[in-house]
Amino acid sequence: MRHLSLGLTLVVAASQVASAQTETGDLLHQAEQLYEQLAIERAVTLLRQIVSTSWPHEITKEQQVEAYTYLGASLALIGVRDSALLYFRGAIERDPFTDLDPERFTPAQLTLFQQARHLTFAVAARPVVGARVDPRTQRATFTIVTTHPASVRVELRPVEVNTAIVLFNGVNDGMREVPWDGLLPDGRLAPAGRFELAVVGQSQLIGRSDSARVYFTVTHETPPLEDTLPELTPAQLLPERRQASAGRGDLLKGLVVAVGALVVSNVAPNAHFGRGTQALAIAVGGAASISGVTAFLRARHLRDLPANIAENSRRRAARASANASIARRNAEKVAQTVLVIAPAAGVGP
Amino acid sequence: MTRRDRTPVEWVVLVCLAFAPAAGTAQVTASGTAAVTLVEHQVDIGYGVEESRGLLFGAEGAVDLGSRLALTIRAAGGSLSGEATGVEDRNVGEAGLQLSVALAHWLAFQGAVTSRTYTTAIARQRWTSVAIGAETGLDFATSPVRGVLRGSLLPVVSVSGLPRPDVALTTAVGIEYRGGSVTGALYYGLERYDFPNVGAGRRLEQVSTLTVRFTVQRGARRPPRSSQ
Repeated sequence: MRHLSLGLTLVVAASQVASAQTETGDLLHQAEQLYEQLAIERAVTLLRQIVSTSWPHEITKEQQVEAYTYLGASLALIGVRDSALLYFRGAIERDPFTDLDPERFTPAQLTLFQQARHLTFAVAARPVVGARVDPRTQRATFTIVTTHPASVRVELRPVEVNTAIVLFNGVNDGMREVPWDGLLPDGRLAPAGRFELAVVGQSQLIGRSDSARVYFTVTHETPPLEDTLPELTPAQLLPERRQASAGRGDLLKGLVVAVGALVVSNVAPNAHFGRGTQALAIAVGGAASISGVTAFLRARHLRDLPANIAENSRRRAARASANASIARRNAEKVAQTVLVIAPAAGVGP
Repeated sequence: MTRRDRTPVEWVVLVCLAFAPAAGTAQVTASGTAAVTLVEHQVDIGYGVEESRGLLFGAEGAVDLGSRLALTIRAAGGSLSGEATGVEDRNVGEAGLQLSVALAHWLAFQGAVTSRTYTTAIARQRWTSVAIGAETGLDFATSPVRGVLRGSLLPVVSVSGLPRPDVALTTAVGIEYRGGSVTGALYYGLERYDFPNVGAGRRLEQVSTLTVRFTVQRGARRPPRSSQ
């Protein structure tokens, strides 16, 4: 029930905000129509209501800028130059990207607007538009503006890395598109994370300075990388040194064979034939015993196992070679990384 | 051995020798073996033990069918002679086929079919047997040596002119030395046949052997399995 009432409250509040914006929009639209019909004074009356601090309805920044612009244009038409200049400056201060369409406004209005730009100094950067950028072939583009000629420095700063990428450093007048190749100053690919685009300007006309910041995030879109082979475990390697117990084991095996031969020659034959063939078994048993004793004695002196060492080296080399191949393939995949740029919250003055 | 008897043995030897290289070139583990066997044959049909000795020369070809199966075909031939009066010289010809299934690197089950012929100047006796048994191998850790213990029962033994034996078994113990692709081996083997008493006395036969073998292996390294 509480959730339902909270939901209803939110819906009502949202509809009130939308309604307020619609009120402003309707009045703004009405004022523009009056302006087009050259009912300038009536239009000015409506527009002043909108920009008035006592205007009771919600008004967006865009609506405010539009109202100021039409106020300036209207006042310019009726020859109130100072007030027109003031409203044009108000529009420019609120949005430095504001400009007049030469096909819709008179040369006098355009001239006055240009004067307002010269008297007002502001820099701005457009919010970043989401994009996928392949650094090998494509560029990300940021749009900045200065209201009149100014020395401008545009920098890109990874928030978590103390590095600045200077995208532009020079004189600018008006709007400019600044490209970025997705690389850091040292040529490496920009890391994934949050970035700040900072625009700092110093007016060349009125000695004022201004700055603006926008934020965006960069993520890497890379084909899945292969895992390198892990270190060889002891279970995957052969013993490189012979253990003393191995010699004892071989001695035991030799004796088992020798005893086995004697047992077979004693147990398996038919007793009727006696033990006449035991000499054959003794021959084999003797050979097995000698083999066991020899292995035992050799194991006491020869500790290293060259064949196993060589085999282990071969396995290590095979692993290193496989990992080198994997690293090469991964590097090729990393080179195909695409930067995914998305706008982020936070704007600066 | 008469000319007529030698022919099939020679054929089997030729097949064995031809088989190993052919398999080797196809990158299949294959081996060829030459063997010399000292044979002591003892027979007692109720009138005392009759002994004869001789050398048998044999050849084998083996091929691995996958990682666990091995097929071996072999043949041997030679002659036996006795020192005692009245013991006739005999030619021996033998051919066999063996299938081995490795359960572990140290244990394999084996099944074999063997046909053997004893020929004297006046008679010929044919032995046909089926053996089922197991072989265990003891690989030395410090040197390329392997001890082998093997035992088989012969549930099927057919001997021309004789009843089926009550007891029929074979067993062998040996030691193998490997050097590169060549393996040398020394085996002691014993075959025992106790025939039932059919009124004319009980027939007992026993074959004891000492075999020297040399095996050449091609393909992946795997301890050769002898059929001796």
